[in-house]
Amino acid sequence: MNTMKNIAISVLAAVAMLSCTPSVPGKYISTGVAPRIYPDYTDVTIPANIAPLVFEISEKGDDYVTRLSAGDKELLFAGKEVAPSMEEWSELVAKAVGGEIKAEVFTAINDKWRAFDPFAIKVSPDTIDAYISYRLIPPSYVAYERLSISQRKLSTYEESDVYNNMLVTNEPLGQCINCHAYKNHKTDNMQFHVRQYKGGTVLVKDGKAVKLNLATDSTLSAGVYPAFNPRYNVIAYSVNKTGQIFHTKHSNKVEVQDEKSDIILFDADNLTVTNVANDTTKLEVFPWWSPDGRTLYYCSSDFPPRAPGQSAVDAEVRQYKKIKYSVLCRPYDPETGAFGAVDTVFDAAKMGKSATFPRVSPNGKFLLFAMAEYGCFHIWHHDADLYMMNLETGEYWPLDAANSPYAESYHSWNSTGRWILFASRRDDTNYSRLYIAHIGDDGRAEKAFLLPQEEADFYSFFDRSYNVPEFMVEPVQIAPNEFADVIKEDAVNVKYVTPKK
Amino acid sequence: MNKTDKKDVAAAPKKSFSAMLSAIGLPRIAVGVFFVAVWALLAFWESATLFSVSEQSLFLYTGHFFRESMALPAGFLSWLGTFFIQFFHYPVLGATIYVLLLFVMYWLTKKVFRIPARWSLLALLPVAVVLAYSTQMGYWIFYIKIQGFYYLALLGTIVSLLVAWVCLKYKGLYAPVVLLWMVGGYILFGAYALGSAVVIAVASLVDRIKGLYGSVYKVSAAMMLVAVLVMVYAVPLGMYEYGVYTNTMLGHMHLLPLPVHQWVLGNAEVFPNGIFDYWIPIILLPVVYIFLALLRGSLSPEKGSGKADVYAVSQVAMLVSVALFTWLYWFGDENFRIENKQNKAVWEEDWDAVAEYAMDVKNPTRQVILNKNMALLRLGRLGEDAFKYPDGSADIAHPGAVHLTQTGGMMNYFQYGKFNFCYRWCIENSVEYGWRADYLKHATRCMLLSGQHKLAMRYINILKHTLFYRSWAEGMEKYVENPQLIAKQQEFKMPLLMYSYGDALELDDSYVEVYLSKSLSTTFTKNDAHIYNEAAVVFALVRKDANLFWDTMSRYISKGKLTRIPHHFQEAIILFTNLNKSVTTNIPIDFAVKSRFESFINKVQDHKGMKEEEMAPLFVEEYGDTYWYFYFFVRNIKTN
Repeated sequence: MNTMKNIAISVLAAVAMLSCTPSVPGKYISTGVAPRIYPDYTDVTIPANIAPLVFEISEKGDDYVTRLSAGDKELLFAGKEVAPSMEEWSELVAKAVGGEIKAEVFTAINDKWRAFDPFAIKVSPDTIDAYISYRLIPPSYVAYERLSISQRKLSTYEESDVYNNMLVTNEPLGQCINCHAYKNHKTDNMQFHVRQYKGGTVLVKDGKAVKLNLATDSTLSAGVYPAFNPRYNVIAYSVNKTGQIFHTKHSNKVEVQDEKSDIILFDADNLTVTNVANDTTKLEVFPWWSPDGRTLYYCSSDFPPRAPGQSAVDAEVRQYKKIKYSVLCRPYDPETGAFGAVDTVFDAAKMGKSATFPRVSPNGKFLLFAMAEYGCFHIWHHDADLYMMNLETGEYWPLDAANSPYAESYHSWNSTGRWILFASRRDDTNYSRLYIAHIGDDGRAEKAFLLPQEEADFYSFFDRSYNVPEFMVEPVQIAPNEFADVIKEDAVNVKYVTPKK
Repeated sequence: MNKTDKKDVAAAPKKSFSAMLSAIGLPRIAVGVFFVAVWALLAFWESATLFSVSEQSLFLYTGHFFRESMALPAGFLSWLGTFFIQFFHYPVLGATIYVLLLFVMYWLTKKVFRIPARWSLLALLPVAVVLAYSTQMGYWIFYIKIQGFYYLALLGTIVSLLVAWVCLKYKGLYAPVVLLWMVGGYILFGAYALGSAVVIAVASLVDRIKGLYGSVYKVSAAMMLVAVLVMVYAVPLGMYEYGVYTNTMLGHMHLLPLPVHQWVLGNAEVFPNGIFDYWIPIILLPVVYIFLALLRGSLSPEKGSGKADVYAVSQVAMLVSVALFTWLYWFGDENFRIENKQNKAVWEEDWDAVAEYAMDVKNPTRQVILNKNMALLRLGRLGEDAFKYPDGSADIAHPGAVHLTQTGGMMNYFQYGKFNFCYRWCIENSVEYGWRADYLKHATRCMLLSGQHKLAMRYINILKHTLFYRSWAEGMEKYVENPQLIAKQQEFKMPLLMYSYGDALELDDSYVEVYLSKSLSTTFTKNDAHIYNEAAVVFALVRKDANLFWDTMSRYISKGKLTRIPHHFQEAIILFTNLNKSVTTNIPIDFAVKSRFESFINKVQDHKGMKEEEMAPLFVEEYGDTYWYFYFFVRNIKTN
């Protein structure tokens, strides 16, 4: 009896499922245009190990049918939102590696079907690092609360906190967290900063966390923008006195400026810091190492000219468009710890531009940077775009396929050098979202795709920006409350040592 | 006459008061009056406040909003709280729902704690405490970080009472339900689940002690109480240690959704005065319920049982306590109420009302005055009437700092065309206090009018997922689709005229009035909008800066097509030329102004030697509507 009952239920369920299965319309009119979808995944290039690309069709219609196909695998979706399951997406992508997924969208208005031009989702054979991390922060100016450094598994939608500032908080003081960084994309050597309440730099060295006070009497501030040397136990930091001021009308809204900035080197074995670049006539910021750890890249700008009696800050505010950073470098001798002569890598200032965040590719061939008309904080500059430079030839070019009319900045390289991850404000001009672009052998980017989420309209409601995105080959092993315990402790002071020549 | 008769007669005078109370059903009448009075006060006297409460909250009909709410302990309670708060958008509706739920709480309290009808007033005690929890808020509506705060105690208590009812009625379910409630309930309702579990355990123990139970049952109930107390400590700790919540510090885990972020006990540096008062209803709530748990089953439903005078006195004492407590904890600040009325009137585009409300308060806050000036500017009466209203800078009735940037500053920035600054504070405040309907509406309008339509659409889309702002958002969407309609819209005319300045890098240092004053007085507009220059002159007058007045006045006169000089500007001209004889002007002054100034000066001469504060009351009736009175007698203006 029970068997009969189960069979009957199964049959009914199957009938119900079949009756709900969408089918591609037999008769339709071709529109001759590609459909508008959000996020825009049309003609993007993705890795095979990425979570399903969920998107919504922005075209008007009473009914929708979407077909995704690759090889002999075909998926059909009814409704505005196209949300493949993990399993069916994996099967589909597996069929498309090295080729593409074909996407066809049909919409019906008053039972009359329209077919849009198919678009492709190219699936690269180049895999991507399994994890990324980023800071989630509202696109605010001065206020901060509910900040987290979070990590995301790229093959799923799984996200978790690395550390959340609400774990150790104090209402009147607050706590800012920023600048997470990893050595060679691994998490057993990593760091992030905690500002104000219980402030310090949390350094994880060989899997053990400690809180450091990197400020000394001989340096401008505690460490700010970090760069792990990929080979040696040193970290380069910028040290900054930073301020912000607000546009009364311009849509860029705010200018974040350094009143002063230098570069220091932290020796993680001996807990010492030393000045590397502290020219009082220049602003120096955004350090980065070559893959062999023997060249330090950074950005430098002259101060804007000052009228007699005018303060440096006032000059910077009034002539903010004259602050233009170029990319410089200095050779580093790990045996002696000495730095060699300064060399100009990319003279953006000479071109009337300002280049920031130099990031050398893992193979040492390319330099990725953000460039805009002026200033150092390009995430607030609509004109900021990503550029690539061939370090062997000196040739440089904008990453047109990855860029947009709005800000692109805060970029990082995948461990293989075939993918870049960056923040862009193209979606609504104000909230930074993460985009991933494939980089070819020639250093050219393919069309970037938005970090997929489980719901197509996730970003429409998510009220925080993605900030400082970094690739990781593994998740952070230390739990958030373990970091909290470290942060509650007193910081270990570092010592200043004079630079070696 | 038998013995019984004698006793009755002898007891008659003593019993009469009690009998009278019972006869007229005083407890029930008092309860009825209480609920009706609370409803009427909320729905009508506090209607603008309730409207502000709804504006300072947000409920979205999206899965995303639910998941975001659930990220914290007691997130479900916060979500429910914001759901109910949205109905305050229509204050009568919102007040009705609120009071009905208060009544549900009252009824459940009676049921759960077996309070007989003649002791009904006992069940009002926790109701008064919960009501106080909400009505004490005042300026906290702008600053509270816990979402849904206005409703949290009420909803948390109702749900707790339902659980208590199940546990105490179905004794076999007591242990599993309480244990489940402490884990699952903690996730959903936070401290309310933990606190109510203790009350349930106490009530259960009292039941066992008073009932005909064997000692084994009594010991097991006592052990259960101990187990509950251990779990009160252990459940939040376990959830912290095992990473269920990675966004809450350990010290707060046990107390959420209480406002532990801000009402931190003993934090004297931040809140020097009065912060502990806010905790009293929160502390009283479990105390009252423990008390009711101890009384459970002890109160007789029979009339005449016990001592009649004790009953009568206790009824009166409870009634007085409830009334007094409610009155004491009802935030009755006049400025706060006027500010909320003005805010509501601004959104209704009732500019006459915005100005008129400023007449209702003798010692106004700067916000009341700024709102009034904004309205007068809109009505074209600023130069004519700005100083005819009560003026000053009343202290704000709040234990912490209140800045206009969190209250009415965004509204003022928008109306004065400072869209970027208005937007900035929408974002800053959303970071600190969570997104609210008020911020979203301002952000939408600012981005719409500054031409950043892509960003405006973001906020429009969010507001379209609300119940009461959807149609407003759809209205704004039409402007995005047809931007040419923006300039034609009456509500945007003034902000757009004020927006006619060039871009610059500036700071407001969190002081809206000072910034507006400096910015308008010193920034020249591209098209020299007359309204902009009029505002600049008045800001110069408020600053009592003669040089600035002449600068702005010359701009005002040279760029405007004037038929006459506004009244207060004439008063200022005659005052400043009198104070500095080297300044001459050929600006025509009305005869009436001249002669009134002469009589003002004569009166000043008559009171020579008196201090300003002594003179002010003597001048206010005759000259309180003049700039001269403001200049000489309204001193020490401190803006926030």
